[in-house]
Amino acid sequence: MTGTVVLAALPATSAWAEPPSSAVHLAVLRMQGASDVASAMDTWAQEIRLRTSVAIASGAASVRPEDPAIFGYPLLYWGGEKAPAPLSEAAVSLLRQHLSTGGTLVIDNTGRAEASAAFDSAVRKELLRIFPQPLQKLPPGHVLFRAFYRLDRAVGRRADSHDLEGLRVGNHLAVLYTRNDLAGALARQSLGGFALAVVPGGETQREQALRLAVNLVMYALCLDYKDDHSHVMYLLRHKRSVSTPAAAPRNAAPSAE
Amino acid sequence: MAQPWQDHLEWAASFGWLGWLALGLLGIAVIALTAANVRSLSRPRRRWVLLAIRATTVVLVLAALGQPNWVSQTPRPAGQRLGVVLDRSASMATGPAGQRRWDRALEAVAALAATTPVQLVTAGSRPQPVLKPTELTRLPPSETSTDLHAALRYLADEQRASSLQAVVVISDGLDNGALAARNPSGSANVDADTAELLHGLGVPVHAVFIDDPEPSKDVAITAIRTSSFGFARTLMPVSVDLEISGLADKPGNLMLKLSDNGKLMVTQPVPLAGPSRRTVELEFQPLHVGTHIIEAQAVPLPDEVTEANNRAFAALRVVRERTRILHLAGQPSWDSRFLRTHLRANPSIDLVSFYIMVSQGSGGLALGDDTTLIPFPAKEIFEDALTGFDLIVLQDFPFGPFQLEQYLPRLSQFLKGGGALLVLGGPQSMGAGGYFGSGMAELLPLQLGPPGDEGGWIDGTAQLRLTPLGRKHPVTLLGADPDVSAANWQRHAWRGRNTGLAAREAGAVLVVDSGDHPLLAVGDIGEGRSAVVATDSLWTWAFGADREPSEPSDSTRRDADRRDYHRLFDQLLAWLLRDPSLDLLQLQGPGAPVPQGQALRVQVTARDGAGAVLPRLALRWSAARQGAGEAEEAVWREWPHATDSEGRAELQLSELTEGAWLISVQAEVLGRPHSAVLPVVIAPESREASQIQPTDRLLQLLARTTSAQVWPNRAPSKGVPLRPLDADDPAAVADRQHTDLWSRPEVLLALLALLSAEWWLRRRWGLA
Repeated sequence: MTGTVVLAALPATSAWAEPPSSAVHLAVLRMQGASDVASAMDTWAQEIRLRTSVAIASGAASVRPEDPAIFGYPLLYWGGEKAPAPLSEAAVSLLRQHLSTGGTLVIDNTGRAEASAAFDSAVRKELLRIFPQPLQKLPPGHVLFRAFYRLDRAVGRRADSHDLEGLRVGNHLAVLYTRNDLAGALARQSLGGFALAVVPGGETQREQALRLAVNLVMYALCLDYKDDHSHVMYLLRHKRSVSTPAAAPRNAAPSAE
Repeated sequence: MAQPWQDHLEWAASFGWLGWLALGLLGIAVIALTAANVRSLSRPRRRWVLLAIRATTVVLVLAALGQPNWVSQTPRPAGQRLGVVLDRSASMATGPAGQRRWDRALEAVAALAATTPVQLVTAGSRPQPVLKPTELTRLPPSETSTDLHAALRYLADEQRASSLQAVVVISDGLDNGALAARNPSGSANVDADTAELLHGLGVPVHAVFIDDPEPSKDVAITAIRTSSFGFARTLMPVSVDLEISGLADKPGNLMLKLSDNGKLMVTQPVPLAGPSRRTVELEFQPLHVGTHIIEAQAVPLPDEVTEANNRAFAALRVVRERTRILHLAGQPSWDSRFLRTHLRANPSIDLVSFYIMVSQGSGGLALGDDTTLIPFPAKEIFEDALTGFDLIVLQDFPFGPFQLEQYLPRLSQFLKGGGALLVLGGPQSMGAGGYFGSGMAELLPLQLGPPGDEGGWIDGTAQLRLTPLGRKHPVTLLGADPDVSAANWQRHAWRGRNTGLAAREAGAVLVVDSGDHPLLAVGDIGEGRSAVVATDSLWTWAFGADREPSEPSDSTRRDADRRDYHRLFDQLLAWLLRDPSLDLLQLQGPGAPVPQGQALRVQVTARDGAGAVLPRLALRWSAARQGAGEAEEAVWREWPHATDSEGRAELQLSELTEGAWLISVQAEVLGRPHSAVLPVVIAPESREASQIQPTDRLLQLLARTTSAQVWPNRAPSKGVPLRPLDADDPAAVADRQHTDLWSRPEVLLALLALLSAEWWLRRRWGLA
């Protein structure tokens, strides 16, 4: 993905004079060296709107990590392919509060040919300043992989690694890290087509990336909801090989949970 | 030393050894003077005769001064005495005139007294000795309880002073004192205390069991058993022990009713035919936490000998084990997410959630086997599982589009039956959610769709303001006092609100916006409670997002916002679930049944929602007798009263009669009526009616323990076999007979004879 700083495309949010509504907003952390993800955020929001019942605002806001305005956005996105400048102490403190009180930060390594090692090491270093614990690989059975779609791997524009890494704070995964350029799979051209080819799986892999994007939002909103007893029992009874209830009734009375 | 049972001489006077020494010296002096006096006689024989007479006189006088008496200690006929315990309780009056149990008991006493001297004591609330059997005619069988143990204890204490060779208990066996309490049905042996008592008596304890010629027609509830505590909205088993007598040949059923705080919960027919003693298992579901009085009543049948034993009460403390909450969210949102986090953090909450994750217009791409979506189990929830929950939360839930109108009657039944409903707003709720014009309108504390307002949703900031009621309501108190709370609310803002809402009579509006639109309201709906929060932006408090840029945005302020969020929901849930600690009027009363006639004391403490005491608050007390059936009329009595300077008042009542009562206090706080209810049980003054059919179980137990016999209805004609008396028996000393020797006339005559003889001889021999 083209990775220059084009954050002007995102509406900057630094004041609360017009607070966002209660609709879900995607918010991008405005960092030096961050990628242009405006179209990707649009696609992300659009796919959420098309596939789920979540009321999500169009476009994404952008906030500086040291701006208390981050508390208006429980779901933050931080993408990049270069090593970012170190976070200020104020940013570290605010992000720690944000993530400790329920916020979620999705980190996306948008390296073009492969995951950016510089971004990777810098991000891990900054995360250690926020929480003194390393990222952990999510096990395949983690509820995030069932938050909406059944997923067995976490891919993006690339599929270098099938894993997601996460950092648990309190009762939720506060940080989720993908090294596969998720935003690259969502980025669109001005005419509407996807901007970048997805390798190596092509459009099938892009659909998997879109589903991962949906699951990330659903996890941020529902946490371990899909681990609830009623859901687990239903899903155990209706394995993947068995058809889920007919689509027609669910559409007629939108009753899918 | 003489053995206790041998005759022997005893000296009654006690001068001490000095006294006896002085008397001895005096006697010797007298004899010595006499010897000197008779020296002038020429014949020695005459001197010795006078000296012997004087010495005998002195010895006789000294012996008389010692007051000798003869003690007779032979084993005596008087030891053949019989202790008789006669049951004089009210149950002995059962039966037609002239054929009462009491009449037959008196015949048994007379028969026993005719063969053996008796030591008689009656058993009732306390033992009472009776000197002669003839005195029993003046004593009616009216004691309010039967305590055979106490009567036996009385005889055991008396046994130390007077010998008993046997004890006979004459009773219908309906003990309700220590003996019955310590030896419940099924006891193979007597309890340790009774065993010690019987051992102390040391004699056989026979019994004359006074039975009825024919069983009296009676239905008695002998016990009602349930756990001392239960869980709200959870089925509680209740066992009712019945004793049905004299009715086994009757066709049909008796009706057994179970009431909870006077509200009829279960009616169950019980066939009259069958074993006389049986246990009926019932179940009921207490709705609210607090004290519950459970009453079992057997509807009286014609010709029952008494109706006083047709009811029984049990107290049950109902607590909330785990609060069961059904959380239905119209869509995943930050509001649902932070509420879920709040609820899941509470270990006492069982949370069942269903989120609508695809909607009519957005689900096309999602459908398929690749999703983890499950169908919304509307039928299972609203038809089968609804009553298993304590609280239903509808969060931005589009009720109308889900075609759930058909389940509204069940939701209404759930709420009016004691459940709780919390409706959290949002763009899909209220007007947009199909609430208006549906049955939902009746279940909310706000009026939906007032004229000219079809209801909907508007974005934008809503500044919050507490109403006067909200300032002192326990739900909305977000500070140490109402002023702090009001200032706190004014600092908060909500992003968007539902419109088309107005106050209604059944609800209390606690929070409004600057245009006085209701935003938060609560209300009682039937026996349940409901609340409406007309926004979906409370999450901003939980996340610390509720601050204007001009305000300091430090972590302390955000922490305060989070505390407000958790406190508001804690208080909201506590109020909805009727947490007794939030009641403005708190009643406190006796934890146990109060015997009829004793003073019942009930205290009330009045506080406003902010915790401040309410002095000089006008109170209206009332008491209503609780009946098991609708036919039984509640008896209301009223007493005006007011709280003191500390917001307290006490009610004392001595006039309540036996049964379950609801003591209620009402007061008007901030223009709204508030009340508190305390169930109390007035125990019967007499325990005699609890069981009416004679039983020889305890009498047999006593007899078996002491190798004695139980005779039905009359004493044995040959008398009661008595314990044989042996020589070592301490009872042998009981009839000691003392015979004074010193005061007998023979002693005086002998003394006079000696003195006269000495005087005559002296004169004859020239010494006078």
